[in-house]
Amino acid sequence: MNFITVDYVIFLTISFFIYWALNKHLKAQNAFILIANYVFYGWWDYRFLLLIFVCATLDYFIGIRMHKADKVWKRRYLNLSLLLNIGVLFVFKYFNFFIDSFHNTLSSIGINDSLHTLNIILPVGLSFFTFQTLSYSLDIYKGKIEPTTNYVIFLSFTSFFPQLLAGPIERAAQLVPQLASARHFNYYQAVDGMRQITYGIFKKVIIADHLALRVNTIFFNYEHATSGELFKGMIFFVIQLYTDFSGYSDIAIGTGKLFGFKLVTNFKTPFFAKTIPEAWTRWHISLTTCFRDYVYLPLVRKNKKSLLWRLYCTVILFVLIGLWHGANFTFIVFGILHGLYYIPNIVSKKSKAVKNVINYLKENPFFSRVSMVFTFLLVALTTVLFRAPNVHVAFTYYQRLFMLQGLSIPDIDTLKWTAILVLFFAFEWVQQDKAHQFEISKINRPFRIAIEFCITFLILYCGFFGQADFYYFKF
Amino acid sequence: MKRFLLRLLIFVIPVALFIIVGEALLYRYKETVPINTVMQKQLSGKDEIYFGRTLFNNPETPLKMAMMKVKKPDIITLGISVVLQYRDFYFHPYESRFYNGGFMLRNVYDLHTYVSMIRKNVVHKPKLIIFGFDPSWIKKSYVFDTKNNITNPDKDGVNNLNNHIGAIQSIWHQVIINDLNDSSCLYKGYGKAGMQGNGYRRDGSMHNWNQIKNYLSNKHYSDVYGYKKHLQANTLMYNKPMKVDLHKVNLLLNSLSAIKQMGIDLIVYCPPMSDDFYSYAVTNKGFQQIFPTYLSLQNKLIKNKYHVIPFCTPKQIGLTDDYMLDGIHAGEVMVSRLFYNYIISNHIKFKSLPNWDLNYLKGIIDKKPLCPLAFDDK
Repeated sequence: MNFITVDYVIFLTISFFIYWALNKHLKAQNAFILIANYVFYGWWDYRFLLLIFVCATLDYFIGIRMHKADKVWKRRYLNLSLLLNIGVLFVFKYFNFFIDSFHNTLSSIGINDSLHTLNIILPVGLSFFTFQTLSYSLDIYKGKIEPTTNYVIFLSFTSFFPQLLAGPIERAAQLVPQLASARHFNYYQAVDGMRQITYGIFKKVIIADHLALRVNTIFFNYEHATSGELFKGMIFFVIQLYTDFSGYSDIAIGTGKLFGFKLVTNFKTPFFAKTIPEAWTRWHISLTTCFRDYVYLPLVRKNKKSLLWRLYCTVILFVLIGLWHGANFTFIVFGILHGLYYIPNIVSKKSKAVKNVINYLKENPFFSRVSMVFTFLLVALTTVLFRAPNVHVAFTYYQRLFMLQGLSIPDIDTLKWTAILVLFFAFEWVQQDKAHQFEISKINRPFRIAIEFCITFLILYCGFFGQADFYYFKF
Repeated sequence: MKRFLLRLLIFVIPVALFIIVGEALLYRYKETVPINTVMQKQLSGKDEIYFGRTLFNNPETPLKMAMMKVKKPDIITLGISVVLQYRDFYFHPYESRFYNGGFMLRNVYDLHTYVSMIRKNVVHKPKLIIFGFDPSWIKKSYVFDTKNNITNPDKDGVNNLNNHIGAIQSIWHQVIINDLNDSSCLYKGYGKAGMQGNGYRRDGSMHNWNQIKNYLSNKHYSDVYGYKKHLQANTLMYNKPMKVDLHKVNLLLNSLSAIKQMGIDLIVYCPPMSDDFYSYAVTNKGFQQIFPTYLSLQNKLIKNKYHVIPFCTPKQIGLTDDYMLDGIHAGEVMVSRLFYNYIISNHIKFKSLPNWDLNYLKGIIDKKPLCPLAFDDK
């Protein structure tokens, strides 16, 4: 069920009233949440309900057994959970990629094979779901949390509908206690939730989907586009990606607030980051912290002193982050590039001079703005790899982009959208230190309501309701 | 909770009004009438009823396939918009046995599928097919190649509540910029276009009142859809690459051959282009990558004894661009003349239509309508 549909509005409305009607009965309320979660997911494709149910159930029992087990069996149970979750991910997401790559490699050296790819649908939200359950098993193994013995709560944790399809990825330590304790309707939280939902919808239907039309035209015809058009396509795409994904996160977090839940922040105005490492602390925060805690830190600890090892771990980290997004060589190149972007930061751990330069660039009023723009452009460059169907298309795009051919004065549409985006980012700049960018509760009441009306009217009148899915549903 | 709901109501009320008034307008223009109802109304009764939506999709394929299933017509036209000017009275006294299936097929793969369905008796086998195609059918990455429309037809957008939001938005845009054109809704029809006289008739052909009206007020031809600009910019059906797809050419030839082998009479129609469009097109590099192959294909069909109404421009047959709806669509007056002249000059008779009275068509042509685009000037 897409958040921007009549179906979802009806579903949310009904769920909201039933949920709060059961307020005094925690068990019934949690049972209802579970039913709502499965209705939500099943609306997209009921056939995969069994998959998430079985995976979650197995992880539930594995968690309990792991907690009680000795060191050896603890490890075995963890391996079982890893095998289950990564195995499911591998089959649905990566099997065909590896078969195709293996086949192409063998063909290139003259060996014919009889390997076949499978005709598999990728279940929506699989990457998010498996990471969430994996984090649960890993946290139990590390002794950070105790497993929950409440089956309904655990199933609800693994399938919580606001964040099931595209995050934010919630840690068990964060969400399970909230499910286990009574929720009380809070007016301010609910209003704030509605504001965040509205802002998320605004970003999606006013900015992301309108930009997508322009980006698609450019990428469809990239071989004949001018360098100016390719540059526009690149910039528009990175903004499309941001507004689409952060819009989804806002709707998810806002929905959680309506039901009395506090979900983690997933975006913190990443385009105002002054360095790449800072950008990654502001973009898809729930995913990067997962990878940092479960992959990067354990690896780096093996040899803390070596810069080369740290660089190697960083590249591995970002290649895995890239691959998490999709089974394509473009995501591997994406990961390698971002790993290499970290070189100055890594070197600064040992070189005071480099560290001083980085700090100066971040703190100087003029250079910090230049760094912001430079960081944005570096990120935008790599998102071409996100969008391109293969490495060849991406490299052709770059080649044509840097040829600087056919540059001309931008057309009216480009100028119009530049103005709109400048206004949008100006607003985000002003609001960047707030809990979320549409946190306007401190503004005086009439002005606040006027803003809320304006944004609602803009959504209704100008919103693109062409039923484009959220971009991160692909992952 | 009450306080929150009251707070929400401040926003819900205007949103609800926006939606309710929007839906009321959609209802007023019969945009939300499902195609099954349209089909029933067009099948029953004698008055002309035009079907043309502007705010939802016009699901031609499911509508026309359903009509064909009920009518079981012996004479059909197949192809995209270029065949939509063929009308039932061209085949007097067999009007009731005719149906214009224009736009039911969108690409060569649809044709291949439909021909297979005829062979397997999945659909009614007609006695005569008039198949029209233009050069874009044999082009690589043709804009209508996105899917097989016969096996995977468009769903009726009206049945999806989510489409109503976009439609309501559009109608509010028209209200706000005062572009509803309510006074022009003078026709019996379904959908705003239909009520304004732009839509599919009961026989499946298309009534283009906007273009007729445009001609009656300006008294000259205009390429209203800007096909010259599309060719120049490589947009719409002229998207890149402008190269021939030989696989499509073979598929087309095989499909036409299969039609003949089934004993179905076939007339291939290569639609005309306006002199204005054609004189530009021949200078366009992309067009020149495709058009010679298209003409060769036409000539090959003629050589292989297919009935082919060949490509021409109005000037080549003693007419002017005033007879063209736009750069690539001839009006029904020109189409009827091309058709009539071809049948008469080639002495074509079909055993399946023994009483076909072409004099009836000639009589209508000879009446010289007020507007060169259409026989009805209203």
